[in-house]
Amino acid sequence: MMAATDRNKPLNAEATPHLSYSRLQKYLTCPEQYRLYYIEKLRAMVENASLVFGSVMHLALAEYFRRQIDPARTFLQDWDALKDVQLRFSQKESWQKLRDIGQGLLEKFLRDEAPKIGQVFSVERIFELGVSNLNLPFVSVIDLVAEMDGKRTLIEFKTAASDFEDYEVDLLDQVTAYKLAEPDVQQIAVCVLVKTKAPKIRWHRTDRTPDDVVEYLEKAETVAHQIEQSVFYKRIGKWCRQCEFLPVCLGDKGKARDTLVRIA
Amino acid sequence: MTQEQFDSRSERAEKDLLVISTTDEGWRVRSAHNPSRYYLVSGDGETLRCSCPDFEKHVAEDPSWTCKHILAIQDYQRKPGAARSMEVYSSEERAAIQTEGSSQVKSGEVQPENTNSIPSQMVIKRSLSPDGRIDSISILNVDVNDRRARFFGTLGQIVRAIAAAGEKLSTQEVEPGLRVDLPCRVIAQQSSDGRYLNVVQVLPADYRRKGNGAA
Repeated sequence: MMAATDRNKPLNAEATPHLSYSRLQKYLTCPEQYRLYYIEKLRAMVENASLVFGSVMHLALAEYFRRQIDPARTFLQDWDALKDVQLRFSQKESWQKLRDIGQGLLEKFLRDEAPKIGQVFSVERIFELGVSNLNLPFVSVIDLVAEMDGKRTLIEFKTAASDFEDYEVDLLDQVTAYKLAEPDVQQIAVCVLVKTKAPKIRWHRTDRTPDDVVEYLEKAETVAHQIEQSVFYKRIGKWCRQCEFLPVCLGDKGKARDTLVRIA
Repeated sequence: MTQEQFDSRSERAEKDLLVISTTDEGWRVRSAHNPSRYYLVSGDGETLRCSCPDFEKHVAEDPSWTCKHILAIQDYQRKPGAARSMEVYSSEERAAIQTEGSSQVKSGEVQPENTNSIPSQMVIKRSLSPDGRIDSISILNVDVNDRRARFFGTLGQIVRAIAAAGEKLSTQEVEPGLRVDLPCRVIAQQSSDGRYLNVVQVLPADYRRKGNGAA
């Protein structure tokens, strides 16, 4: 048997810390949520169905752009395999409902939207950047860079319950972070796959200036510094309702024990 | 290079927000304020060279000259995680370069010992969970000959499947995108609609069938 080479040897995530948009965003949403997730390593025992749905949709789209495999087929293969897996569905969701929505969205995407995308330059490409004001590498995974409207375009796919407002797209930190990794793209397109009964797909075009990127890096520096200094506190808001760590914050030890698991 | 010249460049490197990306030739260094222009730093840790005018102008007279871009690279290399964690992430990218084709593997069959088949590769392409650690929804891709088969299971089951092929990993070491090239044998089964190939069991590469083929 051929053993894994050193090059392929997995590294312990603990030994290779990094910053990313999602890490910074978690801290900005609620520093205590960041602490419980990354420091205490607590996870929900039952994963949120919407998050899993989004991941399966991304996987299907990536397979399409890499290997031209029908995305609905990939989606159904993966989603069907999850039928008996316990997931946390909202009141309006069910496994079957999300299956139908996912299939409908991806069939529509293939029929109406995919023809708008020309040459593909990269799919789910991973970037690790050194940034002089940050002490840790900054990592990004960019869904797609491809030709669109005759321009080299950074494309971000989103699955959401409702369409994004234009201002949300214009201020979205995620694409600012990605522009840092792909400064040569000529435009940014956010493709929102809306989880409505009748499949709905909306495109938003945006871009980021160097000043936007610098502003984001300054914010990242502030957050990274606070994390290094172990500055954690509860930031209360509407998002608490969906937070898996709510029992911890409420001091409900029984519920926390029943719903959370430590992965360390 | 005088101390004053060095300090001046250190200060410029600190003031300017420099963004470093690794390339095949070395490092590409851009200013976040002006990202359309970049300079290439190359060489090993002892003898770094830069394509910027400051370096080009002075290096002939002073081979130890360091411009702000070289200082930024040296600083980057001293930071934790630099140029190491990339392996974890690039493994996901490598894992993506897989092919899917037809398969001769039939339901319930262990691949025979003496075929001309390409050894199976086990590829953990990505987990469905953002950090890949949630039990019960991880996916392990296994390349069976030239066809992709999938093993769905808990993270613990995936770790055991990899162990069956001979590589002992802890659950913590199993990262999204991790790729392990391990020849192995598998028991594969077509999905009920005949469209997909699912892995039922992973076996060591030197596994031999007993008697009439029962495992």
